Amino acid sequence: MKPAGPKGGNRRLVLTLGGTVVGMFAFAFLLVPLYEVFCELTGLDSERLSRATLPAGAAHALEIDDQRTVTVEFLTNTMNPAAWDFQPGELSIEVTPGRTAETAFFARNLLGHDVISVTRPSVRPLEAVSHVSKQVCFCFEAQPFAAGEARELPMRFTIDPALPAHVETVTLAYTLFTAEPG
Amino acid sequence: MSDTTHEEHHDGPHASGMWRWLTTTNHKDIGTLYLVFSLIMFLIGGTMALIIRTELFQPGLQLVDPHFFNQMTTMHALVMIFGALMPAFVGLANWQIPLMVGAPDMALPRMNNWSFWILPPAFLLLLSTLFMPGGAPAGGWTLYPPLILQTGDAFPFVVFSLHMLGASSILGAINIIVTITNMRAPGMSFMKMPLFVWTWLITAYLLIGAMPVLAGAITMLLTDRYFDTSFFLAAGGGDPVMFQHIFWFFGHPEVYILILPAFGIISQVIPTFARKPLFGYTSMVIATSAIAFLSYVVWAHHMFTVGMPQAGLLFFMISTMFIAVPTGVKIFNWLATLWRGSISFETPMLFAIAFVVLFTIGGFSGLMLALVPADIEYHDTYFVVAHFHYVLVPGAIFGVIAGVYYWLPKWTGHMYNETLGKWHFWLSTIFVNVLFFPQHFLGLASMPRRIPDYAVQFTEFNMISTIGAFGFGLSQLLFVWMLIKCVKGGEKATEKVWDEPQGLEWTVPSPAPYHTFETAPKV
Repeated sequence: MKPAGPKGGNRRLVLTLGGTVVGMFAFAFLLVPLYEVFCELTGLDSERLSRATLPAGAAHALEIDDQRTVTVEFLTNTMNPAAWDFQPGELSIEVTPGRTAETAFFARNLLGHDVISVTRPSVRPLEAVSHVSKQVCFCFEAQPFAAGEARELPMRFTIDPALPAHVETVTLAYTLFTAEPG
Repeated sequence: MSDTTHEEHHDGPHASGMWRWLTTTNHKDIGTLYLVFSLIMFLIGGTMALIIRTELFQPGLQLVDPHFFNQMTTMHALVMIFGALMPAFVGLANWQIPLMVGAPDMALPRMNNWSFWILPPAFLLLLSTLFMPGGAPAGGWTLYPPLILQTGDAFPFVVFSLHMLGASSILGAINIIVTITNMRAPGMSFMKMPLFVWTWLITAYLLIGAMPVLAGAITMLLTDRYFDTSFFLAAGGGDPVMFQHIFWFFGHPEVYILILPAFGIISQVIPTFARKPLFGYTSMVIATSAIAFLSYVVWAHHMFTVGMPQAGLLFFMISTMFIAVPTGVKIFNWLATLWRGSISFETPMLFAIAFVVLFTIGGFSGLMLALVPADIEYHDTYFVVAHFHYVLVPGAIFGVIAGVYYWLPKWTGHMYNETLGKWHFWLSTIFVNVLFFPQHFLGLASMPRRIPDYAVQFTEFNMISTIGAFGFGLSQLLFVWMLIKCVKGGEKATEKVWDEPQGLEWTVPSPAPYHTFETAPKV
């Protein structure tokens, strides 16, 4: 009985295949930064942009477009409704493109202890994403809340007049997470 | 099986009883172990499906509570994919690949033993989660965070058992690649290999590429839950959609892992009973490779509703529709093989023909789902359930069954009972359509999947579907009975079994002796 293939050939092939397996396992982890890089290079990931929001200070001088108004709706979500009362101050406002608009949200920590909250923003529709510029937002950084504390969270933003004309409503959504159970 | 003494100088198993099966390194023994294991898992997964269908017989909640219902949908999928289908294909590979390429055994027999024996403890672990506090995983087999991270105590057990299943199939895949690459009989070039061997070679490469990615994804889930990482947790800056991208990077090749070996089986069965060589052998090989390649670049068609940019939607829609081209090549090659053939309708052939017709229905509904605007409507409805069950049940499972009927006389040395086989075929084929066809209509009418209750207007189609499920499930008991009868006895099978079948496996006696091709045959 003689094996049809050379023994050394088996070993080499097994090592190559084993190496591929290890490589693919590492590749799964590599996919996390790779997606980011890919989206940054291609500018494809409007979804990620919608979460990152535009740079706060970049209130470049925008022309004011008095010819129209855009309805901006506010939406709030929380992963744990028993831990948070999180509401928009106004459900929607009319905004003139180019003029700075202000609104406020309201959050109350319903837990009996101090916590830190993190809020993730999102903009819809996707083509409005690059036309919303936020100057002040509670979503820029983590917000600490004492046990039972309630407070207003102000937000200031501008809609770029370059927003396509057929977009009449823009939705700004915020999801609040408990980052650290204090 | 083949452990009965065989004259000449062939030896039987080196041990007897349970010890033989635990320590065996013989490809035929291990193939048998895989196939028996897969049959048991098929019955367990089928029982879970019947629990689901019983609950859905009527609107409202009758039999189980919603949390248990969700555990059933999740576990049914995991058991069927990783327990029934994949081991069935590996079992067929173990039995047939050495016989078909003229090798004395698999290239790495000890590893082969290990690949199988990882499976039973892995499933013991997975099934034991049903009895843990918080129950088995209930967030769907796709394990999407953050929902799946809310699984109770079972969570790490699920992850660990999936790691074991992945390790088992990776070891099996390495073994198959090495066997096919290095152990072919002299004269058997790659382009002379039987198509079952070809499709398995390609499948094994898919396994090597895809399973480690699943292992990575579930490892990240594990660290997110226990080690404060935030790969997928938005609160910590992670992205739950990222999990879907990584999961489906594994998940779509996995879909082809579940169907390519069935393509191979059908490509063996149809030429035998049409009494013609396979039409378009080279194009079959190229089409299979093309499907495998495309399977790596279509993953996000499972995620059309997560909010992708337009360019992404277009790319994944078009690449997905491309898959229809090589798949169409295969379907037409099978039809051309049948064309003017001298066809006879033994049970394996019946299942193979049903495969071609019914798999194509599943392929067409897949094309419908590939269209982004349509998919947004169909997403997460019963239309999707109907689609993937058409490709997996009368597709993949019928492929396995056709292969079992086709090679069973070679394994056992007995002909199976043809009358029983025909009953099994007709009952299965009729009931599988009663079971899944109405689900298309339910989905088009927007009945959501993975929900234990539904609006009353869906009642009739759900009742029909449940009746089909019980009919189909009970018909499989005929299959089990046929198998037992065939192993125990029956008309003696000849060496060739069928009328002039092609391939080396038909040159050894039936039952195939414990050791075959100790001297390599010439091709």
